Amino acid sequence: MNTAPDSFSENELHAYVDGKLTPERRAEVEAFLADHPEAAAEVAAWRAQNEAIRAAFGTEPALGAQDRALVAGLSKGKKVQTRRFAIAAGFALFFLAGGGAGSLLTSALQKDAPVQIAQLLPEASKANYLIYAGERRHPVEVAASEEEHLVRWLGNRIGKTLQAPDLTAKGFSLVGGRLVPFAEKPGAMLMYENGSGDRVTVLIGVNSGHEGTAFRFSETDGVSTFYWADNGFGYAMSGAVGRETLLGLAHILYAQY
Amino acid sequence: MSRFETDMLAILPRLKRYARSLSASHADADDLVQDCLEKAFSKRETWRGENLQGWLMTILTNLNRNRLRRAVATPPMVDYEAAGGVEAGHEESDPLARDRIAAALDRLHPDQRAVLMLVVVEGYAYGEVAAMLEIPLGTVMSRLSRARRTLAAILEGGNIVEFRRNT
Repeated sequence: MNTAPDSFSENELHAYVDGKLTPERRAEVEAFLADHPEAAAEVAAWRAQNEAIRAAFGTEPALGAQDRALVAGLSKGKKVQTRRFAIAAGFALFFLAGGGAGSLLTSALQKDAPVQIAQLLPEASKANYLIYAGERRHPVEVAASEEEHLVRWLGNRIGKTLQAPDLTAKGFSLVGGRLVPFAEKPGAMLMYENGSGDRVTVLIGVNSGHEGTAFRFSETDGVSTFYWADNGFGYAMSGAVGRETLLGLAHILYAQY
Repeated sequence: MSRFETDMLAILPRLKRYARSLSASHADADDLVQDCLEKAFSKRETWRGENLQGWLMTILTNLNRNRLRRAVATPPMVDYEAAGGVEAGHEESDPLARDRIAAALDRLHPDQRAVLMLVVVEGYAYGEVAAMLEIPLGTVMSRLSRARRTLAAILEGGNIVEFRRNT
């Protein structure tokens, strides 16, 4: 048997896990733990938490030019524009100047209250892109040659007068579309393609009873998605064409809906 | 450049790290840091000229608590503007493990999370945390204890799949 005390305060076990004990005290705790498997298991779990937390958050982010500018600006007594305001103002300017609907200003300002359906948009749109854009023979159910039928059919199913946005200005033409499930309801998917075979997909789903959201961007697994919700519908556009190209296309889409 | 400013720049990486360890997304963390710096500059006269880092950490902790009181756990979303500055693949750790611990931390009470992060990530002594947050040492220890036990329970239950239905 060793000479370890038969109990330790919980505080001391925390201090042990956090490396805040003297070497002597640490040795005593270790001897105690060797004889008390239950306490040892708990301490081991806490240590594992520490390691996971440090692995996830331990790195100090590097300073960027923005950080320096922020400090310099504040130091001169400047009232710095917050990121939230900058986004709202930026989008308002962009869309007002572009002749887009002013309602985006409202939705951009509501960005702190995102709605559940809108949160499903980027994942669903990305999945559509990954599943259908790679199909060689059957990427769509109804081809662009039957565009009129396509938009009437999809429009009826989602309850919206639908038009396939014209993206030819950016070199993308309509491939066709299909009916897809979105948030337990029918959704419309449209697919476009450019001359070099790059494809983008558009998802339009019902978002009735929910507020609109700002124009957002997400990128996972190399697929970029812009999405927003407005006037009872959610919209998303996905592709692997790079953010700038996709942004250009999404702006056209936004202007048309 | 004033000393206040130089010192602040020197501390900023740690402040950003602390903000990220408290936030569900980098965008939220950036907002928090920005609000914190703004408050620090506006209250510059009340700073007693010592331990700038501790002072900033305190401000940031309080701002974070207020923020979380206002907005109940909004899931992380990447804003279009913010996405431009995201360093992809910067995280060295296993992304799955990172998501798992981050999701578990998001479920902790913000006061408990702050204590845990100040101890584990920032490496402060328990007494320093107590001084910084202006709470008794016993409260630091009980928050630390609750944080660890809650976290253990969440992580153990991590293999249970939760189904949610929109109602």
